[in-house]
Amino acid sequence: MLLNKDGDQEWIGHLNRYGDSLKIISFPQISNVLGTVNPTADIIESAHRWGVIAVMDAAQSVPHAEIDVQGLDVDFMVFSGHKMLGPTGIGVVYGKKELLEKMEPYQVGGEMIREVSYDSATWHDLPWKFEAGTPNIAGAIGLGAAIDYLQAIGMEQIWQHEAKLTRYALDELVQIDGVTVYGPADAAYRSGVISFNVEEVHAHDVASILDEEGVAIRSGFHCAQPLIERMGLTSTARASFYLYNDDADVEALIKGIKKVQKVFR
Amino acid sequence: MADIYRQHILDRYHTPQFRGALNDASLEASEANPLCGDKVSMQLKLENDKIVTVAWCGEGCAVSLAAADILSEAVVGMTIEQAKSVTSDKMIALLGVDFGPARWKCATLALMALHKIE
Repeated sequence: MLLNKDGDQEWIGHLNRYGDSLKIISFPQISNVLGTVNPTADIIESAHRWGVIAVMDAAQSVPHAEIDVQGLDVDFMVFSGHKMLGPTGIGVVYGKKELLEKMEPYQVGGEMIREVSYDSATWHDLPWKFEAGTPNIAGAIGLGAAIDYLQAIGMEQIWQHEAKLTRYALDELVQIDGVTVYGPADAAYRSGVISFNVEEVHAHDVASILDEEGVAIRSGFHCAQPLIERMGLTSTARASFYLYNDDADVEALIKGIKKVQKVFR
Repeated sequence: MADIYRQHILDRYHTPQFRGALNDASLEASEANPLCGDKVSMQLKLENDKIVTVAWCGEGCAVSLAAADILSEAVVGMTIEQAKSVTSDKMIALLGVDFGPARWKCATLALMALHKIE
């Protein structure tokens, strides 16, 4: 995975350089570290031009925006329940039917077989072929309820709400001396995730002090150590917004960062 | 969560007394927390089985680096066995701050490096 000078992620450049030797490209629709909204339609089109299967991590996008899976023509897409107000332990794997039909089960057990003899077995149809054993029934019902809840509010409304908060937070953050914000400068290419650092203060210390002020953020590598190291950093602090946040939360974040600077002055 | 950024912790972070490197270290070991990227190395110089000089280096949060400095001071004069018998609870007591579970690993990172010394 490559980065251009803006910290943007150059998936298409990567495809054009290595397309010949690639079989699968896996990319996030939205970066969980930088908040970058990747040009997914272009990435998928470019992948298909090279005969590469496109696998999209939508865990950061499906909870926040309306995603047109067929329109994107993506081959596989995955997301998790717990990032969209649903329970842990359940997620979704979408795959094009013709690809799923070609694939062998990765797990065997109840419900995924059609016929079993001493020396052979045949598999059930999709989707049962990939759902061996007792399913996570409670998880599926919980995720269904979360999806209904989000759709009743409206994904476009959620996206607009987060975009407004992100713009507000970015405008405030760049005004604080000693705060560096990472990711695209243009809010139009960002989702509701803002990675930042406070000069001379480690991200864990930023997170601890904000925690005391009632502001929950994440700090560290964000499960993306190569990216953080590629950026020449050891960690970042990361604030993120969802439908339940409002302007007062942004104000608490800004106030908390000023407290961090005061403690470490 | 208790206020972990007491003045003595911040003082140790901003102006550590044992940060550096020894040219003539008798023993050394490092420990890292891969989850957060913090790294601390401890170097010890022994004379007559006693620790006479300590230096540490590394990068990380205020808690892990202040803890390295406070631990360095505490083990001067100890034998290596005594130093390695310092427990995590004793380390927290040395820091004098009630660290919650979220920062426990930061507070004991230097101690874990010390425990690895053979």
